[in-house]
Amino acid sequence: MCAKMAFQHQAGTAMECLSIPITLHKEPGVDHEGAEVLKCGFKIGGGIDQDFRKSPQGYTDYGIYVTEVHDGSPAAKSGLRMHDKILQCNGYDFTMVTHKKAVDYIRKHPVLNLLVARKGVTST
Amino acid sequence: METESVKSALSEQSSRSRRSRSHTHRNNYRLHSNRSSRSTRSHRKGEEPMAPFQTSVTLSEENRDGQEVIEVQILPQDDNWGENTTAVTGNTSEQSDAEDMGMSGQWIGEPDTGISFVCQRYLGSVLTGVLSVAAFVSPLAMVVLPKLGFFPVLTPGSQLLACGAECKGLLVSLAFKLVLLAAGSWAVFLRRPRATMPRIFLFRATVLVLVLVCTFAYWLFYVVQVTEGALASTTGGEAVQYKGLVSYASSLTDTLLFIHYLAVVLVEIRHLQPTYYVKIVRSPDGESRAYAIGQLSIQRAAVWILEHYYTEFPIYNPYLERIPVSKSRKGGSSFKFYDVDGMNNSSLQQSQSRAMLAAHARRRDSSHNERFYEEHDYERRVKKRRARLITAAEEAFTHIKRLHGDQGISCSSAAIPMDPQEAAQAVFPSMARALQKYLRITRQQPRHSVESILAHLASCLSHDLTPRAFLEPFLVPAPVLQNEKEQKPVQTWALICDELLSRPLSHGTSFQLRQNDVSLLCTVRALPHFNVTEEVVDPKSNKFVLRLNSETSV
Repeated sequence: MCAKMAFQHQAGTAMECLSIPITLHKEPGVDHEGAEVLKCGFKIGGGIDQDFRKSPQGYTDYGIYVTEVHDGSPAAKSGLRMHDKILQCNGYDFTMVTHKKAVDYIRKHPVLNLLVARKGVTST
Repeated sequence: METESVKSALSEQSSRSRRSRSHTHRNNYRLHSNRSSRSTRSHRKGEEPMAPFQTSVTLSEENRDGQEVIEVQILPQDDNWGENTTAVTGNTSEQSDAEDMGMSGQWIGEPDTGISFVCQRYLGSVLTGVLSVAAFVSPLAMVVLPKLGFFPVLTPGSQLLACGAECKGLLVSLAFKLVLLAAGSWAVFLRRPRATMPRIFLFRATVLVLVLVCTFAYWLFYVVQVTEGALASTTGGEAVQYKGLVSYASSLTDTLLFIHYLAVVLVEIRHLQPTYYVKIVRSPDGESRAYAIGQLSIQRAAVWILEHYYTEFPIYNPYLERIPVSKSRKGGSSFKFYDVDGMNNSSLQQSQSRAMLAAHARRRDSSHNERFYEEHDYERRVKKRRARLITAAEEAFTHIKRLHGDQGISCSSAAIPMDPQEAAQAVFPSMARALQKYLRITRQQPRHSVESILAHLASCLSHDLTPRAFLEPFLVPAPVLQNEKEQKPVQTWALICDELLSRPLSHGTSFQLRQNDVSLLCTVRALPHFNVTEEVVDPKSNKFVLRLNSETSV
């Protein structure tokens, strides 16, 4: 039942499920233009404005998912894995956000306190 | 509103100039052909019984006597060689035909006509003709006169008149150059003049002055040359030789050819490159067109615009000014008032008319929707009648079948071979009613008489045209020259402008052409200078990446 709730969540409805807390410390790096930024080292996809049916990874709801984790990155070190669904970031709810908003919130603070749901771990 | 309005019509006479054809040998410049005609306006009762709000028929030219003359207008037309040193407004007119010259005395109250005016108008063109002929003939004269013995020194037979090989070559080249000059002038300048313009045509005047000066100078030096040679021969000095004279005449021909070239460039070619944009708005009905026009003077631009007006504008139908109100609505909307007292009309009428005007204005303000509904209704009815007309025409045309030669006379029992006119008359009655109704509702009846329709139908049948092709002149009222009433040889327009008419066009010039009710307002704007820059697009930048799902790396 929790799996259904966490990974097939209807955005906007109340949900209760187990989650993994992850603390991520960003590291300074250089982005594609050459400017100094703090990098986390993972890629996200999804959002309430995206169509999850078109996702190549086969996600099943409108939440924010981690689509890639770079090796040796702060994300990998902190325990974030691919296909994790981010439920909360620094207290901000990520189950009903647009993609752009999610990116903005992740980029905002140097330390991220994430609550993450993982298939097979937090749910069966 | 339904009273029979009697309108005047223009009747005109035009005539060809008798002078233009007399110069069969070619000239450098087009002889100015003055064709003018007289137009009269007079009030007459209509000759045919017509429905209300129709005009009367056009006047014929014969019944001149006893007509009340309202206005007389110039109708001459010339091409660019529209000469003139006299500044004439557009309202004087003239007969150039011989018989009308006699009648011109009958027209009382027209001080502008008369023999003196004719002389004035002809003076310019006669001058042009004489000058061009003189210029053309002078090389010939210069070469031929010594041989004929005009100069006593150079008696024919003397060794001075000997023409060797070089001299003969010069003579041949002179002959060919004269032929080329004649052919060039014939090709470009010997044309029926398109328009007569009120002011002097500067380019042509310049060229004529050049010709005059050139011819005069050459003759002067020729005479000097010959007399000096005569003197020299008597005193034993160097005498003039015939070869010298021939080469002199040849150089005159060269100069004339170059002047011809200059004339062609100035008069024919310079205005071909578009420099201005002119917008023409026709006044009573708001039709407008826009054209690109080159560098021209205002009067030449007016002629150019009139050419395009007659070939591109739709026909102006004065009866379409009022949207015909349907009969059912007519009853309740008119504001009637009765003159109860027979007396005190003058003082009472003023106040009453003012009251009426106020009432009309108030009613118009509150019923601005009426126009929309009226127009909508009118268009609907026109479409309905048009559809019925097309159906009737198609049905009528199916009755006619072309009789092929091989079928022979006795192809079917009731077949009588008819020529196109008879076929037209046989077929016409079945669509006459639908056609008449359509013409009535589009107010085109005065334009098409039964004879003209039958003639048109006969020609369509003889050319195997389809019903829609037959109906085209009725359904598409354009261009203006299609209206037979407009197909007069001479048309008069009055040109009104703030600037001098021989000034060139410039940005912001505007002038107006007027003829009877129709007026064309033309405004001129300069075309912008086009800055065309090159933009190089790197083909490598034409690559695209497909993103099915947006992922962002953070």
